[in-house]
Parts: sequence; structure tokens; C-alpha cells
Amino acid sequence: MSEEKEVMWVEKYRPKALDEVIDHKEVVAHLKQLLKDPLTMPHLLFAGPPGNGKTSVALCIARQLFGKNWRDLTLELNASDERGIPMVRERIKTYARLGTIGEAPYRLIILDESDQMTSEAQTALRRIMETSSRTARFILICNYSSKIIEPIQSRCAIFRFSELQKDDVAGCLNSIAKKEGAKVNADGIDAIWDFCRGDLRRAINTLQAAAVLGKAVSEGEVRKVVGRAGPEEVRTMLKQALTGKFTEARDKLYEILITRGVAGADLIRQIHKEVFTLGLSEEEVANLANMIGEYEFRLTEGANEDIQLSALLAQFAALKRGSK
Amino acid sequence: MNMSSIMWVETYRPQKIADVVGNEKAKSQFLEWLRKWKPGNKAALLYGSPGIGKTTLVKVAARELGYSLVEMNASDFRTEEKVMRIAGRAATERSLVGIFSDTKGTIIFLDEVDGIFGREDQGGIAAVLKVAKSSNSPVVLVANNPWDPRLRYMRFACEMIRFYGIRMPTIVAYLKKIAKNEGIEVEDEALRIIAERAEGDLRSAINDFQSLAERRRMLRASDVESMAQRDRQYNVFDTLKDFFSAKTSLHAKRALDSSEVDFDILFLTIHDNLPAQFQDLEKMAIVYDAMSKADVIMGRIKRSQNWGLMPYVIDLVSTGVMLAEEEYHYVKYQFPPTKVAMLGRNKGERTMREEVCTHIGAKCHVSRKIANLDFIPFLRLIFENDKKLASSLSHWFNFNEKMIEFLAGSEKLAKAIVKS
Repeated sequence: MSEEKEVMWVEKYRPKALDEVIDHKEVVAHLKQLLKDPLTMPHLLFAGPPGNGKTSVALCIARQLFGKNWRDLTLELNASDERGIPMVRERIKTYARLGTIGEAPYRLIILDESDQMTSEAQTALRRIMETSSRTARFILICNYSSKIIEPIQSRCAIFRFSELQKDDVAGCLNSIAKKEGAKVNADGIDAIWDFCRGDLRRAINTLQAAAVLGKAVSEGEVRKVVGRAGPEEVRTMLKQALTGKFTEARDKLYEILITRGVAGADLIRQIHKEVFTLGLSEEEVANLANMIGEYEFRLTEGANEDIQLSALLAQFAALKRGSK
Repeated sequence: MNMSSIMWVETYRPQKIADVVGNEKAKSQFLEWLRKWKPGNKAALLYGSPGIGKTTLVKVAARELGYSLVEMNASDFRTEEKVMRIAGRAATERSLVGIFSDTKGTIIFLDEVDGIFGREDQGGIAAVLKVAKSSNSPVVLVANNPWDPRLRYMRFACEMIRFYGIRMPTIVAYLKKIAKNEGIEVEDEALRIIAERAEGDLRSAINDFQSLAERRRMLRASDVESMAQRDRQYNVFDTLKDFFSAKTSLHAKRALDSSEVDFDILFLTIHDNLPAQFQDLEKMAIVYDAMSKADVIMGRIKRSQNWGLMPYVIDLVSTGVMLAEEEYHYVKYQFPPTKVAMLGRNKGERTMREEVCTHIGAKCHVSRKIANLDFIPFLRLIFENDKKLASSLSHWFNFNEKMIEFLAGSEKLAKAIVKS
């Protein structure tokens, strides 16, 4: 079977049944209750930070509902890849209207990152959820439930997935390492936690990459991985801006945006995280945090992220100079 | 003297009326008007697109027919007072000149009248009109666009003489003559391309020809192909210089308004050149803040398609550059914008990244965005350091050799991964 050959640890150790899910005890208990009678199961809305098990739980539900043929009865879509009405109209509508197979009560549509949908698309989706409730169930997954329009929220049972705790993440990483025959030191786990926090997907990927670098995963290996995965470059860019090397900082920005393909909105969040680690005075941090908030708003309203992010870097450069 | 430093448009400017090419009808209409002119007659308004011989004809005709020329151009038209001082005096002193010199008299020649700008040229247009109506000497006006509403009354007061773009064969013949004189061998196709790109503008054709052919013995068609790009850059550089050197926001605004460059590109180019133009970081930050606000309005325009908001974008950009209050200094501008150039260089890599992300998304239940952020950096490390794991991952993800190369960073390593 294809599932046995899996080599990405995130997939290999993805829970296959609700009982294997770490943390989220209440959510799992509640879902099990609902699944006792699949016909009465409402549409579901999962909300919570990235990498904490929402998609895994949705896939577990699919398995529990349909058994090993779950793939034939489940449509997985990611709204971040296709955000507009065409996706809703063509793919979801057609799929929702397909008849069921065998004893399955309905088909399942898992719509990941559904808060990325335009509000027009959400409105279109709302109608489809209503008209197809006999033949399909939806599991909508999002980071922020507030970005989902009210009428959809009111049609769903909402489950909030809280951020994973360090003990759970560490336990999971250690058990994977043991099964894979990789040695992990405590400082390695700490370093992964510092970098990934409750994002277990990123934590497992970090572990797998770090395991390739040496016999044992310690802080040093994790540092190397982290250096490649983002924060280091962002930090370099901010330091260049703060020391007045604006053109260098902006070239770095372009490099991050273009050659690493990072979206502006994600980058500004990373900048926000880094501001607290640059060894600036409290007053400077306060000023910059305020500035970043304003520019994140402008970034979402504006037309061109290069201009917004460059302008933000220019404020970094000027602020630091002005305070000297 | 170094001959090549001389502009060919000057060297080969016609010396006689007969040398002025094209526009035979307009030529004879003008000469007829001049021959018949007496006080009380209308002024002449020569109009048509740039570089087709309007000004040249006036100058050559004046010389050949024995008139002296009192010439003013747009920069002299600012105020009524100035117009009256120069043109007014010339107009009334005509009789004296006529008696004491051997010229037939004076032609008052006002070039580029549509270059006069309404509000700032207090009374300038009215004064020109007054001169045109009451002059004792023939008055010749030249304009590119006589339909400018501000020139409304001028049209009634003048005999309108229309000039058309110069036809392509005429331009080619003219350039051939220059080539012969300069001892340059030219492919006919090269001249044809130059002439075609000039769109009837003989002056720009000569300028283009000079910039391409100067210091060469031979000009081929292939040498000319690169020209379009250069033309556009020239316009961008002009606009940037006008924009950054403007003394008032109104001037800056005008530089943007009158540019032929697509505004999106211009906006990006201004942004790209800010650090070069503003050495002082605090001043640069001020301009950048205005650019950022302008971009917010751009975002609204693009979402709502309400292009009526465009003037506010231009206002923010042009007032922003004034707020910095920095003395203008010339810098070498960068075009195309750094990022656009980078995008061009990295296009192949970006499509490859998209494809790799799609493969990852299909296997790991994530969007392309997450695949890019939370998988690619890790996979790259694995591919660089563990060929065996990379190989089985490639199988599992169904990566082709190009994708493996994208993750491994080199063709050599990719080949080794495929083999292992």
C-alpha cells in the first residue's frame, strides 16, 4: 500500500484515527459523539493556528466515515490555491451533487484554508451547503473563524483547536525520533520548540531535516535548519536597514520575495516576530511594532507589496537614525 | 573640431525652402499666406506632430525671403508683460526696421504655443492673441495640438495650416543622403526600421540614426532591433529627472502627467530609484511613506476599477517628493526597476517552484503557500545532504529531474540523486 512507503515524516506519522490525535481532547471527544450517527452530523468548521492538527482530524473523520475507500468519497480543496467563485461553482458544486457510493451516507468536502476565500465565493458556498446537505458534508478549516461569513458559521458546528503545548510537541518529536532510529538531545527539542512553537508540521519537518545533518539532533543542527528556513534572512535584512544600509536591505527583501517566493503578508509577520529579538530598546520596539501594524494594514489595502515593504524598511532605517 | 559631436539634425537641417521635405501643400499654403500678408491679416498657426518641419520651414523661409525673425518659445510666454515686451515691441517697430535695414521686415515667431500652461502663464495666451491680432508684422505660431481648449480663441484669430507626418520613403531617402555624406554603409532594411519606428517624425528618425550609426562604418538591420527599448528608457529617464528635480509639487505632478510611460511602471521606477536620489534616510522615509499611501489608493483603484481616484495617487507621489525638501542632484537612474529585472531572470525558477509546491500540496494536504514556506527549505537541506532519502522522497512526491535539480541546487547532484 502506498501508505507504507511514506517517507515524509509529517505524512508517515499523521494520525490515522481520532484516538491517535495528540491534545485536543475535548474536540476529539465531541467529534466522536457526533460520528456515532453520521447522518445527523452537521457541517463542521475547524479554527486554529497552523500545524496543530485540523487537517489531520478532518482526514481521520473521512477514514472513520468511509473506511479504506475514503479517498473516493472525499474532495480535498485548498482555498489558498484557488480562492474565487469558479472554484466554488465548478468543483464544489459538481462534487456536492454527485450521488453517493454503496452505504456511504454522503460525500465529504474538506475545504482547507477556507478563510482565504473571497466573500463572494463564501456567499456562493453558503447556497451550495444548503442545497446539498443530503448528499454532502463540509469540513471547513481556517485559521480565523471571524474571516468566515456569519451565515456559513451559523450552518456549522464550530470547533476551536487551541495551540499545542510544548510537552505534547516534545513527546511527539521524541516518539518519531525513536521509531526512526534518530538520536535527539533535549537542547535540540528546545531549539525546535523555539523556532516552531505549536506548529507541529513545521516541527516535524525541522526534525527530519536536522536528522539528515548529523548523528544526533542538537541545537547546532536545528540552528542550521532554521537558518535556511527564514528567520535568519529576515533578521539580516532588518539589521541592514537599522544600520542605514537601506539599499542592501531592500535587495535582501527582493531576494526573499522573489527567489524564496514568500508572500508579503507572511514576510511582514516574520518581521514582526523578529523585532523583539534584535536587542532594541523598549521604546524602539514599541515604535516599530506600531509601524509594522500600520504597514500590514496598508499591505492588505495596497496594490504592490514591494512598495509597502520597502517603505516599512525605510521607516526602520529612519527611525534608528533619528534616535541616535 | 570633432564632427561627430555635432547633432546631425542641425548639420543636415535644410538651408533652402526647396530642401524642406514633405508637406508640399502646407508649404505652399504658408508661403502664399506670407506673400500676401499685410497689416490686419490673420496670423498663421502651423500645427502638426513634432519633428515634421514646421519650425524649420519658418526659419528657412524667413532667411530665404529676407525677413528677420523675432523668436520666442514656450519658456518666454510666461507672463503678459514678457510677451508684450518682446513681441509687442517688435510688432510696432516694424516700420523703422523696414526703412533702415534691407530686410523686408520682421516675422514674429512664437514656437510651441501649446506649451503654455494656463494658470501659471498669467495672461500669456491672451497677450499672444493680442499680438497676433494687432501686429504690424506677420505673426507665425507653431503648435503640436491646436485643439487644446486654451488655444480656442487662437484658432479663430489664425489661418490654420496643417502639417502631416513625413512619409516613410521620404524619411528613408533623407537618411540615405546623410549616410552617404558621413560615409556610412547602411542596409536598406535598417533605414526602413528606423523610419517606421519614427512614425512620421523626421527629427527623431535622424536622432535615432545618428545614435545608432555614429562612429560606425556599417549599420545592419540587426543593430537597429534593440532600439525600441532604448526609446522607452529615454522617456523614463527624462520623466524621472523632471520629477525629482521639480521645484514645486505642481511641476512634479506635471512631469508624471505628461509622461508617456505607463504609470504602474513609472511608480515602480520612482520607488526603485528613491535610495539613489535621497541619501538622507529620514528624507527618504518621508517620501516612502507618501509612496506607501499612494499605493493604498492604487489598491482601491485596482479593486474597484474606479480610475477616477488616479489623480490622488499622483498628488500623493508628487507632494511626497516635495515634503522631503532635498536639493536635487543628478543621479544615474536605474531602469527597468531592480525587481522587474530580477523577476525576468528568475521566471524559470519561479514556475519550477510552483510545480514543486503543487506536487507537495497533493501529497501532504497543504496549500502551495505552506508547501513553499514549510516544506521547500527543509527538503532542500535533505536533498543537499542525503542522496538516498532524496531519491526515495523524489519517488514518493513524483518529482521529475528538473524538480530534483531545483531542490538539489545543481544538475550534478540531481543526476546523482536520480541514480542512487
